[in-house]
Amino acid sequence: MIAVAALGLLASCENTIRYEYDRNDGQITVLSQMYTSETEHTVFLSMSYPDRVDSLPGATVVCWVNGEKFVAEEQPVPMEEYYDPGFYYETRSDQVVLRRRHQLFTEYCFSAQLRPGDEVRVEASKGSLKAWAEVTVPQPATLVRVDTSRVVRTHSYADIDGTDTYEAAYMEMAVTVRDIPGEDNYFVLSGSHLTEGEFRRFDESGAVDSTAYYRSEDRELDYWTFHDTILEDGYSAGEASSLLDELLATNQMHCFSDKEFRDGEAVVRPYFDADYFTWRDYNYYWICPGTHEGDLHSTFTLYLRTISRDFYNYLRALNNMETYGYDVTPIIEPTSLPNNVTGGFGLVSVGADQSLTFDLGSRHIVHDPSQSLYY
Amino acid sequence: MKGKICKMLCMTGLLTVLWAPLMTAQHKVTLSGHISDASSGETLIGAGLVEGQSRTGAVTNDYGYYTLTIPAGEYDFQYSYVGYQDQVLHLDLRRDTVINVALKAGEMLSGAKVVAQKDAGIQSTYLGAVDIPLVQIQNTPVLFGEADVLKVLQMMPGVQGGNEGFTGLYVRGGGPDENLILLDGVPIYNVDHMLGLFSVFQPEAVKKVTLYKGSFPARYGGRVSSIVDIRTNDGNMKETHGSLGIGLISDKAHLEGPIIKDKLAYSLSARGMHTVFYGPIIRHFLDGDYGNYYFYDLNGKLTWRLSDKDRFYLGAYHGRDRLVYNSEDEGSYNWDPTDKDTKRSWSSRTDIGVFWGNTVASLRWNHVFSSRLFANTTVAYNMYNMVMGAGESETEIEKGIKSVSRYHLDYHSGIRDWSAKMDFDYSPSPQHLIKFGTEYIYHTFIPERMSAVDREIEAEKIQIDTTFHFTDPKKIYYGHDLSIYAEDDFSIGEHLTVNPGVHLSMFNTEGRTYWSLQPRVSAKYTTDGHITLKAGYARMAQYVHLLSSSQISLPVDLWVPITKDIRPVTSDQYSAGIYYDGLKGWEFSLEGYWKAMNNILEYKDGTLMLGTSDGWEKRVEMGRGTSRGVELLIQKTAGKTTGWLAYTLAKSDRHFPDGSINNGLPFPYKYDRRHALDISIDHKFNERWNINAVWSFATGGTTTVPVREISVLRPDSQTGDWTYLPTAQYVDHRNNFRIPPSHRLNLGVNYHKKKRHGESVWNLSVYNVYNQMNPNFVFMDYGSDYDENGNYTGTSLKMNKITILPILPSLSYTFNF
Repeated sequence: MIAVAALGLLASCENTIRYEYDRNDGQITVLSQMYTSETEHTVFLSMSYPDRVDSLPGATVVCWVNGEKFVAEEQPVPMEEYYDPGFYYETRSDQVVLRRRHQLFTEYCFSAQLRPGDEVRVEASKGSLKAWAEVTVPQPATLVRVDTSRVVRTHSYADIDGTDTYEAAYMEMAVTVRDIPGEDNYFVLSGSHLTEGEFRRFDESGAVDSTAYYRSEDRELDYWTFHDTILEDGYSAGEASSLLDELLATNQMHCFSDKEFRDGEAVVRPYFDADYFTWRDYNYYWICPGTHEGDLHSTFTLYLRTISRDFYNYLRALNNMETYGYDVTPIIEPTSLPNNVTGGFGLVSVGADQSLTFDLGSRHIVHDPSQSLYY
Repeated sequence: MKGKICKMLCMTGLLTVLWAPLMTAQHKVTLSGHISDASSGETLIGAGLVEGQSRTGAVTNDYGYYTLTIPAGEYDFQYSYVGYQDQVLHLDLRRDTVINVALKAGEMLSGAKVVAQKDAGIQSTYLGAVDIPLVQIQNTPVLFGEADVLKVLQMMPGVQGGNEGFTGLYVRGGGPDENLILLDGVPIYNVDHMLGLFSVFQPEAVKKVTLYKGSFPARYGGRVSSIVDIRTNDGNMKETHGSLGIGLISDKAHLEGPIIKDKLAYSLSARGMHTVFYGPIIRHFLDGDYGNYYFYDLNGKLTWRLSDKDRFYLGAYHGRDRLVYNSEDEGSYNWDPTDKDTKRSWSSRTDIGVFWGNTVASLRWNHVFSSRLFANTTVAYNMYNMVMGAGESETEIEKGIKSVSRYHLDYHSGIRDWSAKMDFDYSPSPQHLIKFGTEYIYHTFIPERMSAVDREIEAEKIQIDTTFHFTDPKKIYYGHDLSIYAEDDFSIGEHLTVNPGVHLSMFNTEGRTYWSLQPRVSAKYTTDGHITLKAGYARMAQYVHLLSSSQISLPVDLWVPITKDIRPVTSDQYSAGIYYDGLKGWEFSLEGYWKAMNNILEYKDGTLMLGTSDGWEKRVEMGRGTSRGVELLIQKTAGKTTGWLAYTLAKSDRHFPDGSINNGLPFPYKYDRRHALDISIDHKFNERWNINAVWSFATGGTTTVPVREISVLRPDSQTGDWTYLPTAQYVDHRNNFRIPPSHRLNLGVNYHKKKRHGESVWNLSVYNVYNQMNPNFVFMDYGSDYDENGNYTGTSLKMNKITILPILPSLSYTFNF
């Protein structure tokens, strides 16, 4: 009985430690991921407090590129979209709060061509608060060669009942990367798929009544690595051949370093879903409904982005935070986010791109006029 | 003529003056033998003998053997040991002589009395070497009244526990896997029960505990922060004695005695939780679910004194933690209620078990080659393993056809060592004590092995019989660990003693060989005014690591070896100290140290710290650690009131420059506690009553908490995919929050009563008398704020702590016979 009582006392006691903070201690957060392959750049501003994040409208954002000044314009908050990806759930104790991204960020955009070697400074200010970051655009590594082949790979997964397998088709890309000699370098390998086209509606006489333009771009496409140690960059392969693999992080941000091929060349192999390279025989009626016909054209672009060390560490930190088991403390070591903003928080980066675009051809689409409009 | 005679006389006189000492000096004799307890025959480690006039002396080694080489002549030798009556022998030594001395117990139960010993304490040349007398361990009140070796070590300066109330040892800024804990010379890998609440060492089986944390003797290697050398009882050679004890958590028994008097003796100890015994009984009366947890320890030793020159020891230890859960169910139903032929009966059973622990066996042979050369040879087997099993079986019977399906998952990890070593003690003169030797360990590491068996049988025909391997069953690491050492403890004049040594080790694994030359040196200068000055340097290397889930000891913590990519951990420690023992019954010591560690391992940021070995090298990073501090120890060693005060001022930090931890910036170590104070007092009122009190205070270690909310940007965020993580809790750097200080008072009272056939001891102790809610875990919590109408108004931050060990009284009874 004594032992039972004693063991009962082992039930933990939870109480509070005095912890003081200033609820109004706000700091500007500046976030921007720019690339040399783009001319339109966005700076995301928000206000960071000990217990919340708010957007920051009405700020002044100025960018200097080699001393040339560009003023970024605040973007208006968009209207509701039929598919609004802006929702996310923010969990606080037992309270579930729906937040929109526009309550967290205010976007400021400017146009400029960035080139390797450029000195870029981003300044944000509002009232007495001022934050800035200075970065140098890195020299790009060389995308020497890309060979492709369509392959079928077998996946295995494991759960408490055992293991099973399934097959899937992929486009394997053998990407030869040449490192920049004499320094530590960091990269992101990513792919994007673009489909765009023009759809036409005809009147009774057969003349074009109206034209609709369609554009859909999927960026930062996910891909498998199948134990490519360079692309995995120390993370798990992602195949749940072990029950514990499900808890381990995969390299979702697709960043890696030149640790294993310093000053030389390496061939890395991402495996993209083969569907990106295939025109499927399904009804495209949902694209520009209400039109009669159209032409779609698709491309796939592979990007080799040379990034800064700060941005590389930032991506790895984000990757760690998004791991399935990240919330399981105390067996996850908390991650500290890199910060290159002075007077505030955040990360400003410019990546130097090398890219290769695959033309996936065109397709003529004919709509069935009997199909009703569908949203 | 006169001149010639005078010259001859002078020459003769000169030669006599010169030659006589040489003649005398060359004729040296060696006095050797064993010093033991008169009542039990137990050898005494560190017992001393001193020659009355020259103050030349020697101490017994780990096997109770001493040797002293001196010029032939008549001497008075005083033999002494803590808690024993001194014995003076007048000897006329003309040739090598063997004298075995048996000392009678004197003030054995009076408390701590540090004796002059060469391996530890003020008299030792080593810095940071402390002997923990057994009586201190038995009388110091700790958790649930269970005397605990490691908990008492935590009260020494420079030694901290990790989590409040748990047994982890953090010595001078090092981690728990950086301590070499030896049981009769064999390393123990898992030293905890019950997730670290208790250690595996039974005080009843322990004879001596020595802690080295500063300058390390050359004979030790393999860890970088400390050596804990635990020696067990050999067994009473004269009479059978024992004890039985029952406490709040566990029961224990100890029995030792002669098989052949003065020749062959045994010592047996056992300890187990109550649930070892009544768990199965309760199960018998339970239907359905059953769960149980218990731990037990078994120690055994056989000592055979073949002759004065040869002694053999056969020792074994086996300890386990076991957690089991079973569930059974059965039933029947008609799947078509209208048709009785569709009746189906079924039964199911679920079994889950987790077992972990050590098994150690060793055979030792002491041989006296000559009066000046003593050797110990040890061969040992050492295994730690952890097994988790989960199984489910279902049986169905329908229309007389029986179907059985069974699924069983096994997870296993472990480490197994075969070792052999030889140690020599050579004493060519009173000024020199040379130790040298060699050791070889063959390691087998099985960091992780997981498999499952799926079997289905229908109508006695096997339908499925498959074994799945979730990890590579061939993934085993092997390591060859070879070392040699030599050291000499020698005196220069009356005041200066120097101990230089070297430890050379080699570790071979995965086709790669690592060498490490580890110099060790310490020096002691004793003034006439009872002041002693010491200084020392030691280099250490470590070839194994513990992948730990941090704050508590979990069975899934894995021991892994260095690999071709993960280099050995090394440390360089400089220490210096000043000591005073001029006040009778008191000892004062003040030591300072600076320690640098290289290639220490830490999990990278955001890494899941479950001890999976799959690609573990890629989830850790190698870096540097620095630790420095000052330690004060004041001991009262004689009288009715004894005890000590230990204070430590220390700082410890880490740095992983590659950037994967804390962005490459230095940060404080998790257990960087600036101040630690331990006060232990034991007072003996009379033969029946004694009380003890321990008050411990320590400023808090560090933990990592978010300091604000911050928005984050994923690379794909700009396309509108905001389903993941637009905000995050911002951590500015690792270990950025200092946990509040912790303190507690433990009290204990012992009541001894002589019985007809022995002595009974009642112990009442209270852990954490004033119920201080010391934090075990600290975490940030986001609370919701509401207005008076119940509307949500926002969030607020709270820092919560979890206290596991509040005030805990305990009562135990022991009968010694």
